[in-house]
Amino acid sequence: MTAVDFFSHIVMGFERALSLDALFYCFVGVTIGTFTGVLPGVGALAAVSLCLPFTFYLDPTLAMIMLAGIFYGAQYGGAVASILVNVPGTPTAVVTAIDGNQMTRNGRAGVALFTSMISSFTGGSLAIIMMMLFTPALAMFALRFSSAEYFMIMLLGLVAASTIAPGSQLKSLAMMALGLAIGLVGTDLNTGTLRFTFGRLELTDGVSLVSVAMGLFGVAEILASMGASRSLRVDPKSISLRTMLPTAADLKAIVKPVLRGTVIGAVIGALPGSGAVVATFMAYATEKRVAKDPSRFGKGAIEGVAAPEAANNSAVQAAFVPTLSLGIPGDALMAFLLGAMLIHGIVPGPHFIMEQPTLFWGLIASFWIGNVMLLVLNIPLIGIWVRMLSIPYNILYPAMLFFIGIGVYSVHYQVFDVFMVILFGVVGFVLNKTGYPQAPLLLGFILGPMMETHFRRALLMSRGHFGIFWERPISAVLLVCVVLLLAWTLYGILREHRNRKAATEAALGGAE
Amino acid sequence: MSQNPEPESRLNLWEISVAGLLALLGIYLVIGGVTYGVGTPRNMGAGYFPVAIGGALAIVGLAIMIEARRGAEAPPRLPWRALACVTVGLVLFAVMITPLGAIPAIFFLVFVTMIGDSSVSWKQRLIISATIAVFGYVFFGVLFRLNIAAFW
Repeated sequence: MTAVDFFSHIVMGFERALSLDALFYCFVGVTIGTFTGVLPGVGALAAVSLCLPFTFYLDPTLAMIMLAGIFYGAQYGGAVASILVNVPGTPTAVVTAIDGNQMTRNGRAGVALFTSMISSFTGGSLAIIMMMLFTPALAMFALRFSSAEYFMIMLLGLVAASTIAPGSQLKSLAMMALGLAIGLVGTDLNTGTLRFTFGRLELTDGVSLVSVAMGLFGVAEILASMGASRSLRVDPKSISLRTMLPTAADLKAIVKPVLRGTVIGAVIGALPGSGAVVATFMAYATEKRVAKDPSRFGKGAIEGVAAPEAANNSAVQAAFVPTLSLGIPGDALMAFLLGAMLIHGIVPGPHFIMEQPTLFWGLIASFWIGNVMLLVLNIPLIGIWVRMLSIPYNILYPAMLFFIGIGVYSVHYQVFDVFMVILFGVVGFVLNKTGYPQAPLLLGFILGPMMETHFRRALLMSRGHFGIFWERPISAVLLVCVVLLLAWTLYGILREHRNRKAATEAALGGAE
Repeated sequence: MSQNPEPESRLNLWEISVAGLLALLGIYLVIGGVTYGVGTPRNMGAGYFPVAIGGALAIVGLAIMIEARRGAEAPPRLPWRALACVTVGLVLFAVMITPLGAIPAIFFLVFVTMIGDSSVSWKQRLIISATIAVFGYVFFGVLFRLNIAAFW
């Protein structure tokens, strides 16, 4: 692609994203996103799952603009509750709470909010520029990939997502396998055999993404919110535009942390399996390490807000790179968006960028417009979001319940889907309470059918010879990564087991 | 240590049964896969992938059973009342939506679910469910023109 093409595509993208309908749905998306981000207990995944059925009536470009807007909008909102009441609105705002809430206690809540918003905007915008450059390049590179490479990347993504995540790695792997198993249900595309449909007509097309996601994330969050009627009261008058203005010294102090956070976020976000949460922790740790006086951290250091907020927004944007260029999502949220694109008839991957440039560049342009909207929504209008914090839970979860019911029913107007939501909701909740994370299940469920297709195709190409996976160089490198990750996991489990045994023996010895 | 002399000596029945169920599901997938026909690597049958995934699930399930078989942690405290009410609420919604229409179905969905939340009064439950049912229907049925009837 020449430079002229590149710029004409960007212009085309902005034309699409600046059209009235696109602006409207972008605004709707980022507003819902900020709303769910601000409210602790409503995650971005639950929000996109609840909204997905209602996007089926939209043009695919508009649907994706809106769903993506919810996703990155939540990153902005997440910081608000972290800073003001020390309750992270999203998992990616956990680190922000450390110094952000201290700043509030020091009477600098406004400055902390401003810092988080401007860092989010900078991180997001820089990452979008990187995305514009790298996504097409990666797609060009990926044109040479065969099914063997695709299968291996997906396997690596799955294994990385389940082994890098916190908590029991074995349980994550089990959920991944369970997700793959749920993905098997339905008609086998190669042989036409009906697999595990239990004679139900509704299952011939497989289990629907809407019922899995709504059950796992929607019902689970309702159950978690029920009875947890905490009220978060903040005096909205304490946050005015005037108190938000930072001093020149503040601005100078955040420039480098924001840039470092952006780079960390972009690298981590684009890698499979790690995601934005890891990026925020790494950005915070980096700032602490490079600071002249690390003891300031935890006591209201402005860098401790700037770097993680830049990192999470940058990571969220960068996560679109592998999803759009290879068609391979790095985490559960991206997997969900990929699933949503597939439902809308868009197949992300190397060909997608070339064949549907308006959609691709329009989506990217909308990210940038969405970020500008978020800046406006969050700085002058911050008072509205602060008031939102006092919405009682016992109004919120009934409304979510309504969205689940009507949303899942209206997809096919079939009652069966509602029962699937109940099944996934209850089983997922019980499993989650037992320490099994839901995210790998969703990832496995979405990647499973694609993995099977590529696995079959690869072995067809090699005439049934498994050597294809290590004879092709890129595939071989990926295979080595998978094996190393699994070996490292196994080593970790065995070591922990030994330590625990030793600790118990020591404790028992001490008791005697 | 005096009040709990042997913290790791208890069998963790909850963990073992959950992991065991996953392992059983894995075995079920393997059996199902075999009946669908495994085929050869070159010409895979419909059962090839199910057998592979089922095998993996069974192995991981067994590994968790071994790893978590003993432990001091109590089984998770599940909110049984909330779980039961959400389930019943959604079941009622499912059986009512087609014959009775959206407004009664949504009303009972929200109302029954809220019985599971002991922090709200009956009056609040009634008001919230009725409001959501009416406004929800107006918003999606009338404005969004979803194909749902208000009443029977």
